[in-house]
Amino acid sequence: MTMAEVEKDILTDLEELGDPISRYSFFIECAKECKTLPEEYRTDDYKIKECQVNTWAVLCKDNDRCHFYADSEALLVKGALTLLQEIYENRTEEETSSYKCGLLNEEAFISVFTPKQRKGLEEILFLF
Amino acid sequence: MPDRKSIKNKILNRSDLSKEVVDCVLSSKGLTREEVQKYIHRYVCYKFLLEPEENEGLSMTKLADKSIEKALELKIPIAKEGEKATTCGAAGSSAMKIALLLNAIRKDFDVDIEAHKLGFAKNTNEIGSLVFDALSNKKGA
Repeated sequence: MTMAEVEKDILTDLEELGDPISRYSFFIECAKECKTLPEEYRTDDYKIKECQVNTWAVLCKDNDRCHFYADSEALLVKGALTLLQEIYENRTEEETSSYKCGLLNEEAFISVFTPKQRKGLEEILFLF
Repeated sequence: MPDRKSIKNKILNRSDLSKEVVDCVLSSKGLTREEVQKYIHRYVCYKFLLEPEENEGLSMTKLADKSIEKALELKIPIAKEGEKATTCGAAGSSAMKIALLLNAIRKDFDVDIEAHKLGFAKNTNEIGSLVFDALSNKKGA
């Protein structure tokens, strides 16, 4: 699937879930499957400043493929990071640099997050 | 990558079961307080993706904690240790789940229960009692 297709698929799932508690549960369940952040990136250099809790994110490149590593001490944010990983992981630099993720503009995705959490997610998207 | 479809389907299945509970409560005549309490217990467990029969008599906090534990396949306090979210909107995941659940109860059962009363309810019996009273008041009105 293309990045746009993955994003649309995620949104379709969230819209199908419908109510806030179901969507919240969805993010929490996804948090379990977040790709592990290597310890060398668990430093202040990779911390997301807009997040009130400790959240780290890094986009690494390896042979023209991007690898997105992230972690957060807030399960809800970690769930969002897992979904972003699904969109961005193993894509080419060309794909990621030309792609604009629209999830933060979608009510189904963003409605469970507080304004501060949204700011943190916006900062993370700037990495791409 | 997360197995999103399995996660989504699990939640939707439980959501369907919770809707059946709501339909039962709202369409039945003459339910006793105890019957409503039992239904509310089932509703809460379905919303928390827990089994009603395995979680009798637990506090709301414990039910929410178990819901998070089950989701992450981790034991609290390990899950809580890894989650220092008290500064993130001043609510950890368990507290947020309870808040969302209480809103869902008000909406799904169409009951106007004061937020502080619901918020102070310690377990599903107390919530069930509040729902019973609210529904009785509606019918009597």
